[in-house]
Amino acid sequence: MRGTPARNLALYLVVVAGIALLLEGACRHWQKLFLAASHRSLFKAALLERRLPQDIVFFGTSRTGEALRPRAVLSALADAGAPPLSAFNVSTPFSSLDILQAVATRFSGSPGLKLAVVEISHQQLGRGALPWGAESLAADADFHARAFTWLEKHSALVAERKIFVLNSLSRLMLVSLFAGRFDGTEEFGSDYLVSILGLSRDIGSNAEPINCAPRPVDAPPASLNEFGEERDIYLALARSFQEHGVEVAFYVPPALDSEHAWETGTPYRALRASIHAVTGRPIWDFSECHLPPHLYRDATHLSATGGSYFSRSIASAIAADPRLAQALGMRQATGAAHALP
Amino acid sequence: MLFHSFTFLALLVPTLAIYWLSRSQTIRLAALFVASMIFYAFHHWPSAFLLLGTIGLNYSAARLQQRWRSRWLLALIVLIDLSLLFWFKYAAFAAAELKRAASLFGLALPLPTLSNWLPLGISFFTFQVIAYQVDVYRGTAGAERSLLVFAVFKSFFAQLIAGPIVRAKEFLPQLHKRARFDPQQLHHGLFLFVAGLALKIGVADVLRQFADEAFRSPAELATTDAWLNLYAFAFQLFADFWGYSTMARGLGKLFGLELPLNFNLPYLSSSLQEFWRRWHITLSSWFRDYVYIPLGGNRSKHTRNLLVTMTAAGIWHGAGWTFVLWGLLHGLWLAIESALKRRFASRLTTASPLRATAAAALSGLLLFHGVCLLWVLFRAPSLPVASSYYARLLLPPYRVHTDVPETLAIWLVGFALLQAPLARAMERERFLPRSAWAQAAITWLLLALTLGYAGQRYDFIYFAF
Repeated sequence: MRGTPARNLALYLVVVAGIALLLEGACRHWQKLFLAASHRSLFKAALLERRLPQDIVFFGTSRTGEALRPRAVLSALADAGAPPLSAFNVSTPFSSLDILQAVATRFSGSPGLKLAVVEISHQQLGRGALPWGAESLAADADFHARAFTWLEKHSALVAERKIFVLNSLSRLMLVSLFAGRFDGTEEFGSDYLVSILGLSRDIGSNAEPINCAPRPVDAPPASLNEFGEERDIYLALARSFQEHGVEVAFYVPPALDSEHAWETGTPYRALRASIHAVTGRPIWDFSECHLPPHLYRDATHLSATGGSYFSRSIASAIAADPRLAQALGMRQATGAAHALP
Repeated sequence: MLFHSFTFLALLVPTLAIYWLSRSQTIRLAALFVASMIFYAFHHWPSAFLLLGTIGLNYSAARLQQRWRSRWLLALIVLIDLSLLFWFKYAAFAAAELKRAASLFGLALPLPTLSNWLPLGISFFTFQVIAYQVDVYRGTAGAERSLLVFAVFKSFFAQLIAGPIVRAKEFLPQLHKRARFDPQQLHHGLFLFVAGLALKIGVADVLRQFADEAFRSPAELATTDAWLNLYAFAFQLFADFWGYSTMARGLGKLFGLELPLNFNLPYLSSSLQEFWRRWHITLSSWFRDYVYIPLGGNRSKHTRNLLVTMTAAGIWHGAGWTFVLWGLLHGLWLAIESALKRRFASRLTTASPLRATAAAALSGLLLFHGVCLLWVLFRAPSLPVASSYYARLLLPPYRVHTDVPETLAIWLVGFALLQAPLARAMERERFLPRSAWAQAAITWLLLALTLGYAGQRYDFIYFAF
C-alpha cells in the first residue's frame, strides 16, 4: 500500500465504513429474504412460498419432516385414483406450537390449497417465543444489552446479522437458486444436494405394505385437564383453514416403542378427543403403530425409507376419508387401497 | 467488563482520546491507570482494593530491594504475593481436601468453609510482579521510581486479567517514553482487535456449545462424538485465549504499547517441548525463567525439574486434582520426550528429508492427539468426569455416530486449515502493505463472522485462572 501511514489508515477506515454502509443497504433491501434465510422455519416457509400453489401441505416438527414424504404420498394417492396433485412438507425441526401457528396461519389462505395435514405430538406441543421475534429488554439490562438492542432496532445489518452464519448463507443460496427443486423433506446438506440433482430417495408404488393403522379417537373430550391453551391454538388453526375452504386433518406420528410414544398418555388422548369433538376433522393416531426398528432413524424419527412407507399409510387414510378425497378431486373414495392391512 | 462489550467500548474511546490528546506523559499514564481501575472494579469492586494494596506493597519492596539487594526481602515479598494467591485461589480447595483426608481417619477438622472469592487475574498479576521482584533482585531490571508508572505496569487493562504476562525490562521503558502517535500502529492495532474478536465470538463461542454439552454428560457419548467434541474443546480453548491475547495486543498498539506474542500456532508443533514454546508463551517462559532454570534446568536432575515445573504450571491453572494431574502428566511426557530425543538424536539428524518430513507430520498428529487427551483433565470439572470421558474416548463399546452437526464439522476443519493463514495475515509486515481494499475485505470477513454469532456474551476461559 502506498501513501503516508496516516493516509493509509484513513483510507482503510473509509473502505471498512463504506462496506458497512453497502451491507446496511443490502440488509434493508433484502431484509425479508435475509430474515427467511436466518431461521429454519422461515426458510421452509420461504421455500413453500416459492412453490405455491400446492394442493396439500404438511405441517409439523422434524417427526413430520421424516414421516411424510410428499412424493410418496402423491404416488399413493395417484394409485388410489387422485388426479395429479402437488404437495409440500413445511415442517421444521424443533418447531414449537407457536411456530406451527405462525407458519400455518401464514399459508392457511394460500390459493389452491386443498388439504392441510397437521402434526399433534409431544414435541409439537412445546411452547416458546418465536425465534425471529424481537426479544424484549430485561428491566435490569446493562449498558451493553441496551446498546445492542438500540443497534438492532436502528440497523438492519445488526438486526439481520444471522445472515452471516454459515447455515444462513447456504439457505440464502438454496432459497434464491433452487427453491423449485425441494419438497420440504430435506434437512441436511446432502438431502438438498440429492434434491437439486433430482435423485429422489422415496420408495415408489412397489413399497411393501406395512402393518400400520391409525387408532380412532377414544377418550371422552370432557376429560381434558391439561393442554387447554394448546387445544385452543389447534382449534384456531383448524378454523383458519376452514374459513378459507381448506380441509384439515391431524395426525400423530409413530414412535419406535411404547416408551417413546408419549402421545398414548391420557392427557394427549383427551386433547385429541377435544379437538375432534369441536372440529369434527379426522385425527389419525399412529402413536401405537410401531414399525419395524430398521425403519427408524431414532426413537421418534422415521428414516427416509420408513418415511416413504409410512407416507403411504397417510395417503390411505386421506383416500379413506370421503370428504378429503372429494376435496382432492379423487374419482372415488377407494378406502384403504394400499398399505393398510 | 469484557473486551467484546459496548461497556468496554464506552471506557476505551474516551481513554484513547485523553491519552492521545494529552502532551503530558503523566496525564496519559494517569488516564491508563484510572481506566484500568475502572475496568477492574467493574467486575468486583472490592478486588480493586486488593490490586491497589499489592501495587503499593510491591512498589515499596522493589524500592527497598534496589537499595539493600536482600535475598530475605525477596523471599518475604514473594511469600506475601504467593500467600495472597494461595489464600484466594487455593485455600478453599486445600481446606476441603484437608477435611476430607481427616474424615478418612474419623477426624472432624474444625476448618471454616472459605468463600470462593477469586479476584480476577490474580494468577497473572501475581506472576508478573514476582518476575519483577526477582528481576530487581538479580539486577536485570531496575526498581521503578515512579509509583504511577509501576501502577500502570501492574494494572494495564489490556493484559491485567489474562495476560500476556509482561516483563519489566520490556514494558517499563515503553511507559517512560512518551509515545508518538503512529498511524501504522493504530491501523494494525484496530485490525488485531477485530481479529481477536472474531476468534472469540466467531470460533471459540461457537465451538463452546459442543464442548460444554459433551462434558456435561460424557457417559452417554458415542466414541466419535467424544473425539469430535474433544477436538472442539481443544480449538475452543485455543481460539478463546488466542483471541483474547490478540485483542490485548491490539489494544496495546492503540496506545502505542507493544505487548508480547502469546501464541504461535501451537497445534502445528511436532513435539511437546515445541508446543510449550508456542502455547501461552509468556507463561511458559515465566516458568522456564523463574522455576525450571533456578531448579537446575537441564544441567542437573532434569526429570525432577520438569515434573516440578509442569506440576506447578498445572496448579497455577486451577485448584483441583485434575489440574495437578494435567501438569504432572505434561512433565512426565516432556521428560520421556527429552530422553527419547537424546537417545535417537543421531538417527533424526541423518534421516532423509522425505523421512524427516513424514516423521514431523506423524509426530505432529500424535502430539495434537496427546495434547487433546490431556485437555480432558483440563476441562473436566472432576476426576470422575474425566475418567468417564476417557472411557468413552478409549474403551469399548466403540460406537460411531454419523450425524455430525454440520457446524461442528465445518468449524473443526475450517479452523484447523485456516489457523496458519490467519496468523500470517495478522502479522504487521503482511497486513499493512496490502491494499486498503484487501485489508477491508479481510476485516469484513472477520467482522461478518463476529456479527453472525454476536448476541451471547461468554467470559474468556482464562478469566477463571
